[in-house]
Amino acid sequence: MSLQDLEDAENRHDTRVGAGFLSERAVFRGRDLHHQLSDWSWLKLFVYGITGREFDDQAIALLNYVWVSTSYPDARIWPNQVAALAGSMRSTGPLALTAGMAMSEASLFGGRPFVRGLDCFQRLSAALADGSALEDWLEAEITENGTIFGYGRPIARRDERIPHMLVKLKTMGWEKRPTVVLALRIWRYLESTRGIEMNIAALYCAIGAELEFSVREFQSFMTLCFSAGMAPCYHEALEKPVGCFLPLRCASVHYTGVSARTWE
Amino acid sequence: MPALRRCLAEPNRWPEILEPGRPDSCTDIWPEMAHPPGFAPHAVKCTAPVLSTLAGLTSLSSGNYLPWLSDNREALEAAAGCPLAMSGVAAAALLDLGLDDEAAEILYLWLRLPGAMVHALEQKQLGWRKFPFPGSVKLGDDPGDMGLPDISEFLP
Repeated sequence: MSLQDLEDAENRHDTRVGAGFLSERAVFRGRDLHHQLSDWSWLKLFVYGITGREFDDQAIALLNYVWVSTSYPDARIWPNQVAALAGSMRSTGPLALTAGMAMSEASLFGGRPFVRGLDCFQRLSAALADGSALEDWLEAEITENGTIFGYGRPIARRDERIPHMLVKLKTMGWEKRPTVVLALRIWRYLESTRGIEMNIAALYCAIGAELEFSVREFQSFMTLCFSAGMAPCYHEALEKPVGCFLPLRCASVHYTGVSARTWE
Repeated sequence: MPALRRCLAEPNRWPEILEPGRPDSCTDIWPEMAHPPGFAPHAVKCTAPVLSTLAGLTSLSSGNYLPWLSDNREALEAAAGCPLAMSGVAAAALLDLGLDDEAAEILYLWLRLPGAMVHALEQKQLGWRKFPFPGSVKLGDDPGDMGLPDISEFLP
């Protein structure tokens, strides 16, 4: 960190990820976008942009199913509520979706569990390779960090996405992949010791680990995972009378603050 | 705010507390800090606006943090390896006001909005043709120009 760093970067943009040569061409991570990548699926391009790696069709199909399997157009789900509220107040689609995506990185669900879960698998896999016992490591992790992300679920105990994902993994021959098996072993241990179920984040993170995503890469990949479910919530709210998404009358608010006072 | 709180409580551990990076044992959604929080990584000295703000707020404060920061600024800068930034002064002020970390974070963001607002208002007056776009780029991995398709057959 020095002034020299700033001076070296002044009036220049050095990059290896790409550039648009307007009126001529566009380069995307070393390839001509229009000539060499025009037949790729957008998802494959997205993952290539994040990682710089070209994934095969099976991996892309699996990553596609990760997104499909968590696209729930239920406006009660927290990020979807934000998108629906935006529609109810006649905000724009991009604002609705970005606001919903921004809050989907909460601890409660989504973004943080994906990051913490993949980090947990990476550290656990390394510890097991060094000879640690799974049970000892999990207990130490719970003591130090409070929880194992990817296990436990707010509101509902059971995660209906898990059986579908396990079937999908089997059809692809992925059911015995080490991190998938590890995720299931953790589930068994937490269920038997604490009655805690696995949630889908654990399997998503196991897939991320098997595809050798870094934590930051996986975090970026998962950014859009809920957005297909958000958009219908926004558009339905847009079609309904203004302000009528989950309205709450004042009398329904149980107020416990300062009592009514007179303005003077 | 957590860093200043710890620095005031543990005067012998400043370099360790101000060391950039994540103290946690696990990775979280935020990338690691690349500089000591509240200090300016590229600055060569503490700037006049920071110094005058620190002096002005210290004279108004009945708390502990601003006077302590004024008295120890240079020693803290030595421990941090870079000069105090305005965010560090704000952190001390918000600590002296008794705000918790979350409320202070929101207030700090809110108080910075007028700056963003005037940029937006000015840009609207200037017009989109004057929206800045850096002219040059140095591309390190370039397949070269492959040309454009011939579209003469489509033209009437």
